[in-house]
Order: sequence, then structure tokens, then C-alpha cells
Amino acid sequence: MATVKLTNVKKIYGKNVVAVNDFNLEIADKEFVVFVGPSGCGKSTTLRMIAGLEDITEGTVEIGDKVVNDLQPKDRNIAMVFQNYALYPHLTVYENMAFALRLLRVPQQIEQKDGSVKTVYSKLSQDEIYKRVTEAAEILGISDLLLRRPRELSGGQRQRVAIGRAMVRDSQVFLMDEPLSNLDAKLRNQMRAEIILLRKKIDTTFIYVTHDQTEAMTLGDRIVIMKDGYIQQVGTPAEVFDMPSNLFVAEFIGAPKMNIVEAELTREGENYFVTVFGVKLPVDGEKGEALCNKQAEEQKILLGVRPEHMTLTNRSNPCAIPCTIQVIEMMGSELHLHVLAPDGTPLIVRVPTVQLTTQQVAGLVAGARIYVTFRGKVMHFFHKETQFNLLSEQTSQSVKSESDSHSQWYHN
Amino acid sequence: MTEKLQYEQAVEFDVDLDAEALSIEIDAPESAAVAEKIEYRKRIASDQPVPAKKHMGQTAKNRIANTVIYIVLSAICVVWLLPFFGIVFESFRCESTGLAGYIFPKKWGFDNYVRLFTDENSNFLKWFGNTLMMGLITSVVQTVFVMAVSYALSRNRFKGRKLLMNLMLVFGMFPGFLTLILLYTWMSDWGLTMENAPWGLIVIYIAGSGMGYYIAKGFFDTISHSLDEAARVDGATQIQIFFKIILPLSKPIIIYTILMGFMAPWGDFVMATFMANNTNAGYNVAAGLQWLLTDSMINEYYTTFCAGGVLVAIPITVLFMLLQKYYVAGVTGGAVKG
Amino acid sequence: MEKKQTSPLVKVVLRDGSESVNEQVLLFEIEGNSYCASAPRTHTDNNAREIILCHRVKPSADDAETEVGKQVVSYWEQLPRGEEQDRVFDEFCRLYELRQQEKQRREMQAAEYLKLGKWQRFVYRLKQFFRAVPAWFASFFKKIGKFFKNVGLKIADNAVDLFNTFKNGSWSTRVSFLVMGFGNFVHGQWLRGALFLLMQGAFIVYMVLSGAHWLSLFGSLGEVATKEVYDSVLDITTTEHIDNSFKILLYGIITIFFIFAFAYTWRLNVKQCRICDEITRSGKKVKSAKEDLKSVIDDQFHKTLLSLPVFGIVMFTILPIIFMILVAFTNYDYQHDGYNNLFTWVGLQNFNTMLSFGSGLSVAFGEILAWTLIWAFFATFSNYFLGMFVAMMINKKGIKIKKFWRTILVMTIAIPQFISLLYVSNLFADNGIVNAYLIKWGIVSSPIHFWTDGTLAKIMVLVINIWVGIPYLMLITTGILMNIPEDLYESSRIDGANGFQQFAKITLPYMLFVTGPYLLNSFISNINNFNVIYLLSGGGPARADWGDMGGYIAGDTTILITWLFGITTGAEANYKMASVIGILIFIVVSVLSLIVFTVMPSNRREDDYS
Repeated sequence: MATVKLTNVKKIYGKNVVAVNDFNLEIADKEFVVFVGPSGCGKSTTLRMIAGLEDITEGTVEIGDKVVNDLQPKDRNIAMVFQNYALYPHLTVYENMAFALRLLRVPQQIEQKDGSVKTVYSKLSQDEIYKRVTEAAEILGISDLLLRRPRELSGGQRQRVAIGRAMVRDSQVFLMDEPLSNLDAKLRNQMRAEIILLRKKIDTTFIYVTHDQTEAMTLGDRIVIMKDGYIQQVGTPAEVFDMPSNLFVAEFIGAPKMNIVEAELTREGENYFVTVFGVKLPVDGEKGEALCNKQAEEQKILLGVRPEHMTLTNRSNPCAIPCTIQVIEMMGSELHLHVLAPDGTPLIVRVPTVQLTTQQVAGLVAGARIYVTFRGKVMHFFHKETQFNLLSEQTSQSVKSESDSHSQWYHN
Repeated sequence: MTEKLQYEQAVEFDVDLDAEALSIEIDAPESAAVAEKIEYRKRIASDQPVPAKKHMGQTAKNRIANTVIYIVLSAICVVWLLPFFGIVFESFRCESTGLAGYIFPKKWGFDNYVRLFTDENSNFLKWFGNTLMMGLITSVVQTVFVMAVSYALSRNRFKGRKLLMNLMLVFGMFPGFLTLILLYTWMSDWGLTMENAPWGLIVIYIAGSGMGYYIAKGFFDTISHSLDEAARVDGATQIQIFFKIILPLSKPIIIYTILMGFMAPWGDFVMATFMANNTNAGYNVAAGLQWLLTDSMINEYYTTFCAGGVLVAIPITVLFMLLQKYYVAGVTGGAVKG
Repeated sequence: MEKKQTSPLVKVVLRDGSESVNEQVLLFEIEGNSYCASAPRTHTDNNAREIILCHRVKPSADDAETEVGKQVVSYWEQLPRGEEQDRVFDEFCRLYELRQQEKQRREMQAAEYLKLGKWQRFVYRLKQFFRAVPAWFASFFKKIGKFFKNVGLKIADNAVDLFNTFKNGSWSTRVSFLVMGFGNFVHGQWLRGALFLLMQGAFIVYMVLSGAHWLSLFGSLGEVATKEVYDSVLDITTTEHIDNSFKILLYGIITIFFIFAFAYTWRLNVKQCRICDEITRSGKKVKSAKEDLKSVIDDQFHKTLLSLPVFGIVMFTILPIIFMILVAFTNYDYQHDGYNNLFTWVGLQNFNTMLSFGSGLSVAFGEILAWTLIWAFFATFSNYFLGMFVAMMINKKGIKIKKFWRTILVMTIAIPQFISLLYVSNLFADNGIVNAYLIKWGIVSSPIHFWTDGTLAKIMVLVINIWVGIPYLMLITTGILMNIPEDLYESSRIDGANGFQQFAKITLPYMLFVTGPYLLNSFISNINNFNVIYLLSGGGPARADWGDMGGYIAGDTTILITWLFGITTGAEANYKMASVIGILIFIVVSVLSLIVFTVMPSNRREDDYS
């Protein structure tokens, strides 16, 4: 039940291996924030710095308006769930959950005879410990496992115990480091749903680390996407999906990943057009307006379109791009068509099967040619060199200066 | 408007069947399948009789192989156990005391055991007591030391850690006997030689025990670091982590270390002989019994030596067999970790 | 001319990024500093110029380490515009090209290698091995050079730091240069201060009372051994011992240890005062004595754990070994016992005696060293293969009472070696049981001299060592054998391998990989395998042609370690030669370890386990 604020946090291993760089983030009270990114992007390191398991090279971490840089993990009032659960193998589930409570010293104000108030640190009573552990066990549905040892539990049960162990402490911040990655796919989906429910019951600040974008999208109030130690984008799931700030975020969020092709942006008065594979597509709707507002120049760009935003069309459509099917993945409710564009660029098209007739599905075979198109509304425009989104608020300024200096230098 | 319409009608799309590509696709699987079929038939045709024959041959072969193995293993057992039965037989031999050219005693009896405790040269009870005391004290303190060093080296990355480990590695490459003379002089300055040699030995064993951290460190290395971290988040101090988390998980390696520490003094005759410096009362069993076999004594005390050997071997072997599991774990772990 | 200057300036090394194939990690070397940065390969021209231009010199946001990238850029931007920049850039490109060519060449080499036959491959690898030898030596000496350079730099750094601390420090810090722990007292850290002060007091008292005395005699190891003293009261002349070389050497070393420890503590004291100053200046509180006490069981707990064991090791292992190393450079033996007759430094004379070709001791040394290595080799590998063989027999599917076989073998480990080996030694004595039965059954007419015939004795110790070693190896290999994935054998059976091929292609390589370090250890411990040799043959039969070997009669089965023991405990108490042998054993062992550790594939880092 506290805010977490990271200011210019930096982590350097050894002499010059930078794991986390210039990390700035404010997490509101009771917010659920997910750090996501490929392995080695620094997300776990950041979490461990918040937990106090790693030293902070530079910058400050504040929990509840208090700088905690120099505090031990135990003094930060946090709870953490580890990737491999880290249950104490020699202790029963009850003792595992009670471990922290037995070490806890609660300050108590005792009034002395002379009227002054003295703070005494005392242990929790056995009754209190029992009460807290059984309450948590009740919530997690592991009440009948309390006398077992970790090795007698299934993966999902261990996971619950690990969460329970963190729960009993009533901490300000709840940290979770890839808690679901050791579970199989089915159990992971189930636990994901349970975490969403659990969150309503615990109601505290959550920081959750994962490499799985689906987990990030479904769990997080806000998502922090990281790569190579840098924050790439911070936003709600909808924001990062609709307006990825750069090419990396665009490709990382969404599955199958976004199609990226080289294209040319041209302008005719107030209207913008994208020429891709020799086909000129109009940029309409919001995107067109945005480009107009930004006064985007004519330039070569990287065009991004999500597979689900691509549609099949007939050859008479002036916006049709002829593609050759390479592989077809039948997913049941939808088809993933791996196609080759006219110049050989591989693309993925996602087609819901309900839209197709049986004959049409039968006709979709490897080697067949189909016609693909997409609307201007779903296009994403990225600067060719810097790979920033041309429309993104955060970075448009830097894109400009970057490209300026770049061209200047190039011609030098 | 027309454009929008086209999007709405996107369902009505054209599929061009690229004639050339399709023909290849149709062709290729056909021919591949045929080739595979032919291949498959060929294989079945040639292989079918062979597996049946092989099956018959293999069981017969296996039986012969197993029989051979049983014979070899039995032979190994005999060869490995023979000396021990030999020692036991010798210890019951009453007709003579020196070397004899036969295995089975002509006259059986407990004479040698009686001599072991009564003869003026054999101070067996004292030797046994010395060794037991050394074993008990050394095993306990050595285990504490080894656990401390291996835990510190496994769990902490502190300045000078590499230096310390390299120092121990380099100095471990010097033969231990090199320092005998200095240690003797040192111990004799403190009066821990001659009849007090066991105490001197205890000091020497314990002082050097930190060098034997390797196996235990290998064990600690396998305990996940996230356990420590979880405990730290839970509010445990380092000392609490050591005693409440890591040590309870290290029972096998603790028992192994205790066992090794306890057994070492029973077999060490070099240091023991040297430290006792011809003082009978300062010997351990190894030094004492070996002394009975020196050229001037062997003819009179050979069978007594065997009786002593039996009395030493029995408790050690029983202990060892009881804790065998831990010994195997320690030795194997050490070998794999290098 | 200009080119020559720049080539060591910038060095670009490319390797594929670890995270994804779409990334390249570039390592730079600029004026001796290395930098690393990554560049995405996606959607950019794969042209080297493009990559380097876009992502090296102009770092973008997704540069892996922009700080580094920036440094590269700033370096590059500092260069004069135009020609100079172009030149450096060309250098980048040239090196990139070279790197690409090298990569291509290597790929081609790999292709060639794959086409080679079994023997050709072996020859190829052997060639590679020997080709790499000079590089090892080069890197070895480079490392040594680097080490000394680092030490030098560190000392210089410390000196500069000391100067700055004195210049910028508070008055209490400056006083701490003289009175240790003063700064700590001023900052309220009475515990640390007291410890520092105690150290200083102890040091001064020790140096005045005895340290200076030992140190002054260290160069000569004593001048006067004995003095005739006339006692006027009793009217007798007694011999009084003045100097004792042994003690001078020993306490000299201890004093030097102490001086180093004191210097370190003094440096620590100054450093802590500086840190205290800094903390106070930044407005924070320094650690109180109470917190110090707490940290002993918390974040400094490892030091608490290590203190006593490490003290033991320093005093009872490191100090004695250094003492004995120094003894090798003296003439310490029974004639110069350091008490009645002083011993003194003789330089390399003892090594000369041992290693000069032709003379008595060196002939013996050569033969003993050779036998030591032969012994260690055969003892290690005979045990290894036979032990593995026994383990495989017991492990074989269909063999029953596995536990019984194992238990019998393990039982033999429990019984102290001095009992079993002494018994076995007597079993094979000239008048032992074996000979008695052989004569009785009429196989031989006169006893076989198992221990008095040189060659036979060598074979006997090797054979009996197998008897000693197999149970250990059986235990060790059983565990590892059971860890070999069963599907390896299954797939090899489908591929048509027979039992022997399975052993040669799967079991053995796996075992060698896993037990590589163990083999080295066991080789080394066999070099020092005192028990088996000493208890069985006692190093005999004595070699008359070697004569007196430093007060000990060495024989055919004598290995270095039994020789060392013999000399130490022998009549001449020839400690100087014993020390020389000890040092030589160390050299043999360390050189072996170095070689094996550089060559061995299973030389894994410790952090890989966790």
C-alpha cells in the first residue's frame, strides 16, 4: 500500500556492463505494473533493485516516499515471489509461510510509569502467526496442504505456497519475478486468472516481471517494456498495442508479430499515401490526421501492419497486394497464412475462419496466390533509421534531431 | 465509397491457383511418397527375418554374459575379502606369533587379544583412547571449520575471495610432509608432542581443515541462491540464513564431513609416529600397531598386530557401513565437481 | 606513417549477438580501452558502412550500451573533421572487412574439417594443439606482466589516494595517519577505533621487544651459535646458546607477515577515516559501533566464518610452507641444526646438487621422478578403467543383488589402509603366506622375491594399488554411469551400435568429460600417494648404485614423496634437500595442473553450476 518511485536508476555490473540504464518510473498506490521484455533486458535486475537484492549503482528508489537505497530487503516492507518459488525444502508449508512472521519484530508503544512512551519490539504470538497463515492459506485454497513439505506438492500448489508466503506479511509492495514461467501452459493460464482474482483480495501495489507479452497484456494496469536496460515504452495495454513507440515495441507486443515492410510516405496536400510493393495505399482516418498534424515529411519509412489487420481481397481492388502462400497454420478459429510479398518479404496474415467459405478454405494451399490489403487506420509508421514511431508523442522530437544530425554527418 | 465497399466485401476474394507452383506441389509429394513406400517395402523385405534371429541370439548371449559377470564378480569378492579373513584368522592364531606360511591357524584362541591389552609393549587401550579422542574432537571442530569456509566461499562474492581460493589451491600443491619438521618443533615448544602428541595432532588437523572446503562448497553451490534471497526478503540475517536454511539442507554433507574427520586419525600413522617421537603413550592406533611390525618386533607381535587391526576395523567398518550413503554422496559429488 | 599510428587505435571485433540473431555485438578497442555495443541488423543494409555509421558512431535509443556508444562517438567527434574522421572511419570499415573475411575463412575451415576422416581429424587437432602452445606461453607471460603492472598501478593509486586523503581530510583523519583509529573515535566508532589502536600498540610493542631483533638477524640467520660463559659463583664454564637459526628464520617470517598485516591495517584505517569524512560531509550518519557489532552476524558474517579457519591455514599451512621453501636455500641439516651449529643462506646450491647432471643425487632424482610419473599414470588409469569396468558389470541390466556386490567393495574402504596394506605386504613377503603356498604346491622351488626384485616390486605396488583403488572408482563411476541419459543408448542401438561401440562412443566420452577434473586430482594425489608405496614396499628394494641419498636409502619403488619423507626422518635429517624435493614436487604438480586446465574441455567455471 504504497507508491514506488524510481529516479534515474542505473545498474552497472563489474566495470562497464550496463544492465539497467536511466530508469524513471512512478508507480501509483495499488497499481499493477508489469515489466516485460526479452531475457537480459534488465527487468529482473530492476525488480531486484527494488527488493534490495541488488545494489543500486546510481539513482534512487523510493517506496512510500522513503528512499530505500541503503535499506536491507527486510526493512523495505516488501514481499517477493521468486521464479523457482524458493520454498524452503526442509520446512512444511505452514513453516514456510510462518518463517517471515517468526522473524518479524513488531514495534509496540508502551507507556512507562513516568509517562514517557517507549517503543518495544516484540515477536508475534503463535496465535497471531497461526491466524495469519491460515487466513492466507484459506484464500489460496491450500489449507489442507499445510503439513506437507514442498517436494510433496505439485507445481501449481508450490506456486500458491510461494504466493502465500509473500501474502502473510501484509507488505507495502508485492514483487513477482516471472512467477508463472516454471508452470506448463495450461496451468499458467489458470494461475494467470487466479492472480487477477487474487489481486482484488490483496489490494496492494504489484510489480510483476515477465517475458511473456500475453501475461503482461492481461495482468497489467500499465506495462513497462524494456530492452537492453532501457525503457522502451510505458503505457496501458491498449496504448502499447495501438501506439507502439518504436519498432521494437511494435514487434514485441502482439502475436503473431507485426509485419514490417519498407515503404515510401508521400504527401498530396492534406492527404498522405504509402507506397508499398508498388501499390499506393491511402492513409485515412486518425492516422492520416495525425500525420497531417505532425507535418510529416515525405520520406522512406518502415511500415508496420499487424497480421490481424490484414484482410484478403480480390484482384480488382486497386489496393490489393498480390502474395504467394508459403505455409498455412490452421489454428481452428483462425488461419495464419505465411505469405511472400511480390519482392519476397515474408508476411503473416491472420484470417478468421468464420469469414471464409469451405471452398475458399480449400483453395488456400501453399503456392496459391492471394490478394492482401489493409486500411490506413491500422498502419504504423516508423522512421527508417531511428525506428521510432513517427506519430509517437514521446519520441517525435528526438527522431527529428536524430535524423537531422545523421544526414548532416552522413554527407560530411 | 467504392473503397469502403471493397473492404466490406473482402470476404469475396480471389485465389489464383498458380499453375506451375501447384503442379510441382502435386508432383513432389506423389513421387516422394512413392519413393518412401518403395524404401519401406525394401526395408521390411530385408529386415524381417533378421530381428527374429537377433532376438533369439541376444537372450542366449545375454545369459552367457551374465554368467561370466557373476563369476567375475564372485572372484572379485573373494580377492577383496581374502585379506580381511586372513587378518581375522591370524588374530586367532595361538601357536606362533610371527609370520606363518598358512592361512588357517593350527590352534585357535584369544591369546592375541589378551596380549594386546596386557603386554608391556602393547599399550593398545591407551592408543585406542587417544585415537577415539582425536577422532571425536577433530570431527566436530573440523566440520565447523569446513562448513564455515565453504559457506563463506560459496555464498559471498567478497573482495579477496578469488585470492584466498587461489592461495589455498597453490599451497595445497605442496606435499604436506614438507612441514613435518617445523610443525614438530612448534608443537614441541608448546609441549604438544611425545605423550601429548594427540593434542598436537588435533591442533594440526583442525588448523588445516579449512583447506578441505572443496566438496562442501560444491554442495552449497547446488543450493539455489533464491532460497537465501527469499530468506533475506523474509527478514533473516546472514547468520539466521546459515543456521535456519542452509545447514538444515546440508545434512548429507555435514555427516560426510564428520565421518571423514572421525576416520582420518585412525589411519594416520605418519604424523602420529612423527609427533609421538618414540613415546609409546602418545601413539594412536595406527602408529602403535605399525610400531609392532617394525623389524625388531614383527616376529613377536605379528599376530597381536592382526588382533589390534580387527579391533580397530570393526567399529570403523560398522560406522562406515551405517553412513555409507553419505560417504557415497560426498565422494561422487566431489569427483564430479572436480 | 599515419596509417601505422591508427591501426592500434581502433579495433572492431564483431560477433553475433547473444540475444537474437537480429543483433550484432561490436567490440571496439580504442587506445587500449575496450568498448562494446550492439547493432540491430534488421531492416538495415547489411553493408558494414551502414551499420557502423548508423549505430556505432550515431547511437540510437536501442543501442545496447548507449553510454559506451556515446563514448565512441565522442571520441570520434573529437577528431578533426574531414580527413581525420574519414581515416578513422575507413579503419573501422577495414577492420570490419578483415573480420568478415576471417569469419568466412573459419567457416570454410569448419567445412573442410567436417569432411576429414577419423585419423585426419586427429592429426588436424594435434596440429592445432601444438600450434596453440606458443600462444599459451605468450598469454601466460602476458598475464604475469599484467599482474605486475596491475600491482604497480595499485600501489601508485594507493599512494595518490593517501596523498589526497591527507590533503583533503579533516584534522582527525590527518591525526589518524599517526594514531590509528583516531578518526574512528572522533566519529563515534569506538569499536573500530579501539581495534585499530590495539593493532598499532601490539605492533609497536612486538617490534621493539623482539621483531626488530629477528629482522636484523634475518639476513645472516645468526652470527654466534654458542658462547663459553664462566660462572664465577659456581666456578664452572657453561655453554650458552646465543643465536638459533631456526628461530631466526621462523620469527623473521612471522615478523614480515606482521609488518604486511600492519601496513594493510594502517591503509584500512586511513581509508575508513576518509569514508567517514565523506559520509559526514554528505550529511549522513556513519555506522555506529552497535551496527558494527550487528554486521558481524549479518552482512559481514562471511568474515566471521572465515576468520578462524583462515588464521589456522595461514599459521599451520602457509607459514610452514614458506619456511620450508626458504630452507631450500640454506644448508639446514643435522650438521647445521641451527642450535649448536648455525645454518645460513647458500643460494641455489641445493638445487644445483639435485639437478646437476651426472652426480649421484641427480641420477637418482631423474630415475625417481620418472618412476613417480609412471607410477602416477598407471595407478590413475588402471584404477579408472578397471573401476569403471567393475561398475558397469554391477550396473548391467539383469545382474542381481547389485547392493551386495557394491557393499562388499565399499567395506574395504572402511578398513584403515595401514592394516590391510601391512597385511598384504606381509602376505607377499619372502616368508609370507603366498610364497609358502607356492612352494608347498610345488609351483616354485624358492620363494619369489616380490619385494626385493626391483621390477617385480614395481608391478606389485601397481597391482595392489588396483586392489586399493577399485572400490572408490566403482563408487564414483556408478553414480555418473547412472546419470547418462538412457535415450543416448537407445538411439545408438537404433543406429546399429554394438556394446563395445556404445562404450567407446557414448560411455567413455561422457565419463571423461564429467570426470576430467577428478582424473587430474587423482593423478596428483597418486604422485603424492605415500601410503601405498610406504606400507607395501617401503620404497625398496634399495638401490646400491645410488649409494647414500641424503641420509636415506632410496630404492626402485621410491617416489618423490617417500623420498622426501625418508630424508626428513632419516639419520642425516637432511632438511635442505627435503625442501628442494618438496619444491620440485610442487613444480611438477602445478605445471601438470596448468597444462591440463588449459587443454581440458570440461574446465567449467564455478558460477555455471548455480
